[in-house]
Amino acid sequence: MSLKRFFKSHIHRKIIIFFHQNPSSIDTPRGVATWINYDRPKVNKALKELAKHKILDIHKSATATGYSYTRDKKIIREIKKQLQDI
Amino acid sequence: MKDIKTEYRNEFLKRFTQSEIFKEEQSSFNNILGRVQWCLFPSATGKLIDKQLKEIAVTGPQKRILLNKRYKKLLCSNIDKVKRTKNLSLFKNNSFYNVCLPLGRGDNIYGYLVLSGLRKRLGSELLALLMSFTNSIIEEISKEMELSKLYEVIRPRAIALSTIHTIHRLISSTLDINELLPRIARLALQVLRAERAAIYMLEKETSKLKCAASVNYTKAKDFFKISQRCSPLAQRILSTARSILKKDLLAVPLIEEEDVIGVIAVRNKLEEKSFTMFDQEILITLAEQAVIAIRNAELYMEQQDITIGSIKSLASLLDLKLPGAYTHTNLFVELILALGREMNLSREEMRYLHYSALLPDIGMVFVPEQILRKTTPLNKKEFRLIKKHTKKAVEITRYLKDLEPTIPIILHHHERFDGKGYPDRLKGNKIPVGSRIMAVGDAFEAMIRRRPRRKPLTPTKAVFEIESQSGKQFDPKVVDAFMKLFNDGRLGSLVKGHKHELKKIF
Repeated sequence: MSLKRFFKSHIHRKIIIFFHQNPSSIDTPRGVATWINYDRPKVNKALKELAKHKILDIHKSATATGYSYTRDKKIIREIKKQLQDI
Repeated sequence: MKDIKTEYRNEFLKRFTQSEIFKEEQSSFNNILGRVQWCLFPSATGKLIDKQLKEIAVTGPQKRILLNKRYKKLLCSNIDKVKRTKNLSLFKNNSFYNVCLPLGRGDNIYGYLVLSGLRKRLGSELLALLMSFTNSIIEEISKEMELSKLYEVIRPRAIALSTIHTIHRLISSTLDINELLPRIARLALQVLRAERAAIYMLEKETSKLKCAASVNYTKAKDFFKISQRCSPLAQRILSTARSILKKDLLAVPLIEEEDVIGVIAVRNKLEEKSFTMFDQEILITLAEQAVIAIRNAELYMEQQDITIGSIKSLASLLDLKLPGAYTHTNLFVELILALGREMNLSREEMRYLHYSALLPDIGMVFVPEQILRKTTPLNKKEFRLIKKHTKKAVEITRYLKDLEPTIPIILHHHERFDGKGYPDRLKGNKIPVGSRIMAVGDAFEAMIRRRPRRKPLTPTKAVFEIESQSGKQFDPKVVDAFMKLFNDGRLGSLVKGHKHELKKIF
């Protein structure tokens, strides 16, 4: 899925916006689901897809998985552009 | 520049005019009162009232009334009166009645609602109703705004707290210091949105800081700079125990019980921003958590070292009695660990595999020495005695709580994959994986080591012998891992490195 296609999906868009507005945040699927008020299983799936496409970074340990905003400047610029177009 | 109070007032009035309940109130009263001008004045200042009147007059139905000089004067004085008394005011202009209500709560007035152009004086009941409606809208909006403000204040703090909690979970779940420090550096990088991070730890021997982990120092020159022991800034923190906050650098000490044990430093915030006091607070919180995680990892390592040291001491003691009879070579131990890594065993599994590899034949201590020294083939009775050594090993190790998980591995390391082994004739995956690994390592070592009863095989012949027993004596998956070590040369290096051990005969 390209960035534009992620922006067409409500849940993906909400997650991207959340992390764009809170770029220092590192949170679990449960935490993100709370902040964007969405079902945890759907959020979990969406987070994995976004991490696969490098929009989010993934931090794994034996007991927890955290997600954080990409540090890639090119992707951040592209996201800013998409947000302006909305 | 607008202050917070002005912003709050403007927001309040905006919500008031956009409120659906206010629109319904207007509609209901208009039905009762006829054509009435509703005006909202944010301020009691004459100039502003004047300006607003002109704006309203452009679109309002009461143009003639509103632009009347006398009306303006009356309006200003009544708004002023309402401001002082915090109560409504009724006034008449020519033949028209007007009402001025304060919009606010308690001592705070955010604006004035004025109804102009009423043909009749409002009765007390209608007036009470108007006041009641208006006050309930004010209450509703005030609560909404308080909640909104609370949300704006609490939400970012809640998100930050959740971040701290997630970081805590990510760093406290590993007890491997070599994994922990780079993870802390990466998390610091992310949470502070910095370009580079490094962790320096204090070397006890030299009392100097050494770089223990770094992220994104990709240029050799930069890496060399930070891998030197005495980075001046890091040393400054070591001596003062104080953080350093600069536009492009933030460094905080790792403090354990008043002693500085290290420094964590980040450089260059993304998007060319500067590090702030808030960033410093975040990094200090992260550093506090990091210290606990580092200490736990160090204690865990110490505990492991003590256990391994104890086992090695026991092995050395047994070796004094009859060298090579109760213990295996270091080659054996390293081969077992290499196989464990190749098969992706967990950290815990590797730990117990290591312990098991140090003392697999400790049970031999119950076998009479003359049998162990025998150079001729064993008879049935002697072999039966030898076979008991695995169960005897359990009798020794069961008193050591730390070695409890090694019991199944040691007990079954002579089982065969086809179920024809001993002591319990276990088959296939019922044999613990550690035992299946030990079986391969044991057989390989036995084949290439000098023994009283037979000549050693060459390592290559021993490898093929093991390969031929895949699925029979040995687990095919373990044999595959073993063959990988052989094919890529790791096995050869191991054997070469322990040649001197293999020449000894017990």
